[in-house]
Amino acid sequence: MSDDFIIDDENLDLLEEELDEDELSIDTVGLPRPFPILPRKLSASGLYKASNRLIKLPIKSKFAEQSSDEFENEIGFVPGKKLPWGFLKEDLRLDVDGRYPQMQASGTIRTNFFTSVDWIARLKATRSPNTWIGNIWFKDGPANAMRHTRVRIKVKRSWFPHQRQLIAKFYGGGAPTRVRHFNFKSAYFHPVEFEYDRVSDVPAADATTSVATCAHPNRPATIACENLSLETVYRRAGFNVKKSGGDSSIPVDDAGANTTWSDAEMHDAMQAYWSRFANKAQWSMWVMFARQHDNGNGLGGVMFDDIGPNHRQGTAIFSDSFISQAPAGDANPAAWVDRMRFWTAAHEMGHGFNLAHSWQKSLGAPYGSPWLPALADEPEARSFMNYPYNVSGGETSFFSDFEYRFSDNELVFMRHAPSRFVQMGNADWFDNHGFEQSIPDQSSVFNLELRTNKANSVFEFLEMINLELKLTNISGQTRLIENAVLQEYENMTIVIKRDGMPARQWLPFAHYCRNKNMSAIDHGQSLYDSILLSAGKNGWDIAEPGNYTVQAMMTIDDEIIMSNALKLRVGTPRTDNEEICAQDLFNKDVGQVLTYGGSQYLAKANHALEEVIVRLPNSNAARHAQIALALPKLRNFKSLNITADAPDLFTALENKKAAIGVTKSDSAVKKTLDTLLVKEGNAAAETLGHICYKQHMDTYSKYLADSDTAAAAKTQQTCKKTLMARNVPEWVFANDAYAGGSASAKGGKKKTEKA
Amino acid sequence: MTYPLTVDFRDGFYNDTIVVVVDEVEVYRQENVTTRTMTGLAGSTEILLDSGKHMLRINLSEKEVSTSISIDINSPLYLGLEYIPQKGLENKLQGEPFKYM
Repeated sequence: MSDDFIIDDENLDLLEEELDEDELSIDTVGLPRPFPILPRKLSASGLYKASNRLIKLPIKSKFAEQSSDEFENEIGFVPGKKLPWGFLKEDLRLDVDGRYPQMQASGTIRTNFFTSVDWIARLKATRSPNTWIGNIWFKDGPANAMRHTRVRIKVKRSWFPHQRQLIAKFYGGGAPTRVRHFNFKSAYFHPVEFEYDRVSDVPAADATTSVATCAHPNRPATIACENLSLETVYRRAGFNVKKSGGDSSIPVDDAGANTTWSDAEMHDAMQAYWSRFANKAQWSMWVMFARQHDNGNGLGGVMFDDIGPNHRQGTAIFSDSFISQAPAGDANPAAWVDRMRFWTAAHEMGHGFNLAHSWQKSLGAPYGSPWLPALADEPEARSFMNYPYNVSGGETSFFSDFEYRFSDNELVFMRHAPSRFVQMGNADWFDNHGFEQSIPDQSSVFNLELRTNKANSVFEFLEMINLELKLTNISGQTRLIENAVLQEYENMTIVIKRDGMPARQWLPFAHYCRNKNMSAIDHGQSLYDSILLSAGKNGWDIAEPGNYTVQAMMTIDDEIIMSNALKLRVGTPRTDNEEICAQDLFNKDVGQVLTYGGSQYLAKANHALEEVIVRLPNSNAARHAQIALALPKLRNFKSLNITADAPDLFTALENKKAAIGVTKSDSAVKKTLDTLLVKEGNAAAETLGHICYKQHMDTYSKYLADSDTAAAAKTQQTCKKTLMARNVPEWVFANDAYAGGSASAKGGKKKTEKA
Repeated sequence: MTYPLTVDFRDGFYNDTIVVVVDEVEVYRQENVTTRTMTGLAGSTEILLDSGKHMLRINLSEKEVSTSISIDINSPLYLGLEYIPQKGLENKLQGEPFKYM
């Protein structure tokens, strides 16, 4: 941040005292309206992104009241857990000048990839230059996620975009004041991409994507005469419009006499011919120029895509319809047709942005819901979203005032509503609801895959879930990476979301401090690890029956790596015994015992596991429980024994009434593990996962090798046979210590593979 | 001489059963009629009528709403019907087709 800007911050402190609530009142003297259109280089409007650094302010500045870190804790949904560096993202859209300024600011604060908070504030200019202040009138996100009610924004303008900066101060609502620093990113609020495909029976000249605004004599006297494109219309609405570059022709020869289009046929064509088609939310739209809809001449165009899971991706314009038939006696029929085709294309594309017709703005259930509860209809609006012939005075009246734009309310929606309401393929048509959030750009260096080794990832009620992580180098070159990177939870965040419930962050029971041993990983090679996902420091994150989504994000060398979103299903209890066991099993101590492979100290937890074994002997939960109880007995188990009369540990140590004792290994568990891991190896691998099963088999082999190397070798051979039957590659077993009768490779297992 | 009367069911319909009666004869019945909000059109039907005066009655059975319209047809006509919760069924009769986008 430059010094002069810091000085401005000091001034902000003073200005704060000059400003009061009156500045938000209607009587306040603001800047003249409408605003002059500033050269883009000097305008303040656009998209800003927060930098992660804290603002260093002069001593005693009010801005120093609270750091960003404190705020992140406030909205972080994970009490006491600091979000990983770079994990919290924040955007701010300032809309105070440029084309059609709406005097609004809006922002998105992303706390994790499931949870974000959106806010919008209506702004008034203050007496201080480049400074605006306003009430936050819209919030969308978890309740109480953002309590601030007002925002104050100061901008540093510059001819050079990278020097443009913004400081936003959030306050009011009883929340501690929060200050955030943003860097200018774009003069536009969102990106969007269009592709125009034309059916082969539509002449190129009929696929209108631009219009001469003064060609028809019935127009506003003051309108600028220009050749206006659809891209420019949407750029003026605030979007950074690009063409996909995939414009093409759709052959219709094979259709025979049936050359009209149904909605389903258009949807199929979109999937086949749109170069960007994907079943996901994306800022991308397909525009199809066709001859006629099955409905006939009376349908000029349609946003046909309310089919399937991702709505609003495709629109169609019909050249052989009333939009190509100028009224009798029109002063310039050719210009009328051009304008009507252009208008229709912009109109249908507007539906793709989830804009309703002007007279439907307030329409809610049962069709959907307006994004604001008190949204008013605009039946007389001179907007792309109104029907020209529906206004008073009809089409002639409409076009005499039409300036090729959207209404102010529509611009506020497109620019500032939560992006999932607007983005194509996200919220359903006419509905502002949507779970899917935009995902940060995928890393091009590493790929992180989450998986279980269970068919369909369906788990029994009470069954513990082991999540496997696979990190693959996809950079095309050898990379140095820390061996234990998948165990470094400081750099990784795993989020679990049960359908219909808020997301929860999985927190490990412990963080380890390790030497940073680095390994060279070739392109295509992977690192693997496994964690008990069901439970963590939060308790049991996965317990209730239902559908869950799990996703992980990690940072390696400042590169953000996002995993796939893994879907899991937990079944419902089938017996009373399952419900009885659940009461004691879903306890934090039990999670700890399972995570660490057993305990001889947490007696209550061990008892809960024993109950599961007795009451549910054939369940997968019992399999986990038996293994957790058996593993500690494979070795001499050290524990601190305190004499009964010692009041506490410290007194006991001081009075030498505490001593380390050893519980000898118990050979009786051999029979249990033989059954669970060897005889029923496939079932164990299914519920434990391959990585965890292999670890347990290695542990068991090591125990056996102390007295019987042949038995150890046989166990490892069984492990290999079991896992290879489940499509695990042979190289995984290359360093097995006992399988080949050689101990030289002991401990040398390398968790890598060639792709 | 007969002329077509095209009836468009436009805004405000949702899972409605629509019955059209002309001169006490049921000529059209359709269930589950719902407006497509992207066009403002729920459905359409064409009825051939002898030239002259006729009495139409349109019933929405689930909403228990009906309206009667007197028409004098001597050329193709287009009737637009819209349901507005506080007002009931509104109609607009014109000599040219309704347009949708």
